[in-house]
Amino acid sequence: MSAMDQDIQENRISLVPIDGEHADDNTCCTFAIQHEDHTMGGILRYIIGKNPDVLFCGYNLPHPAEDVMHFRIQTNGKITAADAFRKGLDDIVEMTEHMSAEFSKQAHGTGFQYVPSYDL
Amino acid sequence: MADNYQYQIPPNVDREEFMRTRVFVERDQVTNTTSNDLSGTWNSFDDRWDFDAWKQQFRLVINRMSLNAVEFDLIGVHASVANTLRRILIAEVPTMAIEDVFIKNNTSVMMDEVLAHRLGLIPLRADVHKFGERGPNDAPTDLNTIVLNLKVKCERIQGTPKSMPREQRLTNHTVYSRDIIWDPQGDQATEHRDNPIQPAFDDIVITKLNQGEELDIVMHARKGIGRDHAKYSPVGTASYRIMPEIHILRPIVGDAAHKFASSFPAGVIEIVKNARGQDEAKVADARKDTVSRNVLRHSEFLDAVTLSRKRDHFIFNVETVGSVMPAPLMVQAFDVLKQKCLLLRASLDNLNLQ
Repeated sequence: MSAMDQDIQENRISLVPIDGEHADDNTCCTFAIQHEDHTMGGILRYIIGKNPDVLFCGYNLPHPAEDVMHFRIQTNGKITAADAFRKGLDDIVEMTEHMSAEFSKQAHGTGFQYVPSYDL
Repeated sequence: MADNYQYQIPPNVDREEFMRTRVFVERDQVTNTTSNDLSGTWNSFDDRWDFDAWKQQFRLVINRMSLNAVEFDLIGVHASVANTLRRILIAEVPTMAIEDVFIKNNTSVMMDEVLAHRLGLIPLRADVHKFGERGPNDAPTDLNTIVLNLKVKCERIQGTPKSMPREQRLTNHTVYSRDIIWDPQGDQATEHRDNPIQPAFDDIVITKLNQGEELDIVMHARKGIGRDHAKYSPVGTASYRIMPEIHILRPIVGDAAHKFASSFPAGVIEIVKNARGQDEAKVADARKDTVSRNVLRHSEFLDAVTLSRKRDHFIFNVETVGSVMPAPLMVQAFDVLKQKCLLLRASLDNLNLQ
């Protein structure tokens, strides 16, 4: 239930301080994202990794008992890590809207076989 | 067993493209599975994210659709996108399910908690969009709760002899899901007039009663996601397989062709007459292959065939549980993914970084 609680929905990201990292170096960042797991981690890693200015991106789930995902982005300096994250999220939204439109278009078309039930 | 087995990339394809776009299915292992899509991996291929280029080669083809299931192909996406879609279908699309069970009377043999558990698992047909979430401290309102009643008493039908089976001797010997009655609260009667709320199927057996036993139960249903409890999952399961490919490297003729065809499931390989009048094996429909690699058990075919899978072609099979039809379910799944991204975007903005 807490995953759907509106109050904490919009404050789910915080920064994880890493030893040796400068506080004002905004090209490397580890984001701690609450209530997310491989569902978002996998697709974010793929899309953000497709950005040529991103040198490193990866995610892990530090402990199964805690509902938190750590996502790390390192860039080459041309953009900040937060910008890479934002671009990744925008790219996913754009891709998803296109897939959804394509599915709706196909579902209302006649290119497939509609049966009352079939064996899987 | 030949120990000089070597996976051969088919000679008539571009080697680098084959390595980039296929998974190698070898005799004893499956290789070339690791992700190779990060920007800059390939010398000859620019891997950066380009929505227009992606849009050109993306295809979604619905194969079959029924009342309960849909089979469609997602072509031109990465495995992580397909996996995310699968995980969202299973765990993050919201549905309504019975959460609170108030048992006023239960004189049946089934224990209260077992009965309550069974009631929770019954899929409910209700328009989820019209309901909001109900937190643990929220009061029940007509916008976040559905009230359902189950009031059943098992009685003897007068005049039936004891020799008849119970189903005919007693009323309500078996309690079915059709006995669950929706009790509209507040505005629900008008809001849901077109789609009355009821269990998705009439004939789910809830429990069995003997003469004199009764159930008097009030249930509250709530909106939830599969991540919290599997009863909220709208799919029986959602899964995908990756499109198999069979490349025949040298002509396979005669009896060997028939043996080759029988090593694969029916319909995968067809026998045609070649120019010289011999029976030759040709690939008819690789999609039907279950990739058991049975053909690689035979030493004579080890150099004759290359098995692979196309990395970006996913054959999805989504079977719903009955609460949502498959087409609206897929649209909802895409929408859930979009909303998750938008929420993360808002959270990121709240962080106030440059």
